[in-house]
Amino acid sequence: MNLNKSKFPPQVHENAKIAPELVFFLVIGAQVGVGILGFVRYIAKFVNQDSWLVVIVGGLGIHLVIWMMFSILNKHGGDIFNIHHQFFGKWLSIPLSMMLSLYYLATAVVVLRTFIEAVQNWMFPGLPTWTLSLIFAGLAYYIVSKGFRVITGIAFFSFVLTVWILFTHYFPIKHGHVINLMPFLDHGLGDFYQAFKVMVLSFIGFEYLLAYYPHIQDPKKAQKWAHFGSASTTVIYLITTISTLMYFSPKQLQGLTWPTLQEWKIVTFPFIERFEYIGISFFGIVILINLALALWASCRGLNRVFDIKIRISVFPVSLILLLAPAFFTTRFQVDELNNYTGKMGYYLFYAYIPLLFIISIFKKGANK
Amino acid sequence: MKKIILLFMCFLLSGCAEREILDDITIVRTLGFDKASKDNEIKGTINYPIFINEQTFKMKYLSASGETSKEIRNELNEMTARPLFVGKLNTVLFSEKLAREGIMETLDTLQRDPGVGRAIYLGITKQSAESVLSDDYDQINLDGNYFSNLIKQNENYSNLPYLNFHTFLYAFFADCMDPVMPYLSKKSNAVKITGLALFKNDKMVGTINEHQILIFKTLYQKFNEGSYQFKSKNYKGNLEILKSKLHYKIIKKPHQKVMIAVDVKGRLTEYTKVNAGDPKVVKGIENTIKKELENNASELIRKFQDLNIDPLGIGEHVRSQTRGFNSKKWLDQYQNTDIQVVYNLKISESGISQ
Repeated sequence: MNLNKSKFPPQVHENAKIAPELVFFLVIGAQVGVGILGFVRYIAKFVNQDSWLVVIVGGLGIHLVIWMMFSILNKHGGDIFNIHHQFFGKWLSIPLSMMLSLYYLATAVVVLRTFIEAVQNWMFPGLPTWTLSLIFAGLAYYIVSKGFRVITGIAFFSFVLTVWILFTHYFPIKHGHVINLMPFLDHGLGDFYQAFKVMVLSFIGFEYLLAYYPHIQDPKKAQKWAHFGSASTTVIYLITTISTLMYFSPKQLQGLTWPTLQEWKIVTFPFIERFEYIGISFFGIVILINLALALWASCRGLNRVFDIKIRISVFPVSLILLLAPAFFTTRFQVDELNNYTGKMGYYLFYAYIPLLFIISIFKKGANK
Repeated sequence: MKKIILLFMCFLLSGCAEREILDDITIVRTLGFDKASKDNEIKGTINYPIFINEQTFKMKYLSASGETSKEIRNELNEMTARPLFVGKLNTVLFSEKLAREGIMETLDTLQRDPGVGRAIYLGITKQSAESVLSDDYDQINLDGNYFSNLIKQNENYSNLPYLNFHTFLYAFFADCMDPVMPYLSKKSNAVKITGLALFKNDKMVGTINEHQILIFKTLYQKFNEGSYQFKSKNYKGNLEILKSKLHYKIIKKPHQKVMIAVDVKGRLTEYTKVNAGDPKVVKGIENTIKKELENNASELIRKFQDLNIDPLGIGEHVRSQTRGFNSKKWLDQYQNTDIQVVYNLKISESGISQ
């Protein structure tokens, strides 16, 4: 085992790199996940009709974090694991990198468990958890073992194949009540802050960039695509929020576990009476890229710190992904899992990355 | 080798979930609930098709009693050869007797069932739901869509406001709004929508009649189709409504005086004893109808205030225009709030002849 690997910036073969524009699909693909099925309820709990504002402010906050990430990475080169080594030295960098790796894996577990819960509640009540996690962990394993470019391809397809789902919000908006969006700004700052914190969970996903930065050709050019991707996520969330707020009365919304799925209950076409079954199935594609990217980032951490090949480490890591969902059996536990991951994301974005940013200002750049 | 494993997995995994094949299940189209003869029990009636061959099928009905709707379901399941499925359910009916005692327990079970859609229709029947469901109405109930089509076409092309399971739940859970449902009555060979059933929480507290439905619709939502029968000393006739839109204005805050302005555009399709080609006469008719609409609307709102219910969601509109809205205070004051209705009526045409 070579513990000094992360001392040097990673060497990525030109053939394994992706064009900077594709970062758009990676960011949006990783951000939009199962969270979209239920996040509105959590923010509406605090700020109700002002939720849309929280979505916008949350999105802007993420832009700031993305900007900080790129400034750190552009200045010091390499990836987060190399930067850990540069900033904190060899021994301190190992636990930090491992925590990040673990966090990446946790985001995958959250997404998978929440999705399985939705399937179990809406489609197949008796389905054992392991069957779906076997399918998804298996697929994620297959994708990750084929390398980063394949993941990017999946991100592209997952976007193209599922972006149309957004148009289904037409129906709830048509049946909705505009009065539910008024009056503006009728909540205190404390409520907004609470909602803002909760909102972070839905934006999780762009931070994989800390790991795949060296895989981008001309990474400086990718920044605008990362911003563009995150901005598109914000727009998607904004449409979801507005349609959910308009469609449900406030107390009704608080009683629903998956408001977005409930909205689909009103969507009917002549050839399909109940749209939510199509919707949930298509979400399988949406979460696949979440899982693959999280799994890859987690394995990449092991690769950079302990010099274990991704092809080898991906097997045990996806085994964890396969087994972990079975430990969270009730709605309460799944909710708690989501809460904790959201909190971890919050501290990562608004405490840890700014801290790195401040250190990077005072540290000399690597490639000067 | 890999391909063989993959192929094998396909076979292995396809057996996991429960299958629901059309011929092997009972497709419930309509549900009806009544008060059972025993105390604390309700009687459920289901209406479902039996397929005789590919084209023809017959509607059948079955009833059972139980304390909860799940119990009824089990009872019914014990009577049918094929398991019950509610995925194609399109209407749920409650008898007035049951509705007056509360229906949320039953609706809550339906609400939790992911198989039940939100676009299904709810209705209150004057007679028992069982008697309404058991009739085939001279063969018009053959496809099991009779009740839902009845309500749907009246919502789209006539005076009935847009109401379904979702709107009921919306109003039920809203702080300052109460639900309504279509009120149906069985005639000799058909079912008729005779008004709207008014609710306080989940208990039915009154009805409005069929002439008031249109007034209700103008105050409830915007719409593009409807017809209003008017009558005065000199003439009577029918106004076809082409467009109706409403806005709320709060005149005196907090919550003391509210004005509802309704813009109605329509044309005369039936009138007697006057020359409707003359603009002056039309202006006169406009004024008469306007007065009549306003009087009827005020009467309707008075009725709601007397019953202390708010099916129009006036409180919700006030909330959206009031900062720091206090719903408790609003509800306390609701019966004394001054609610005015103003109609701006415009008659654009008078049919295709002068």
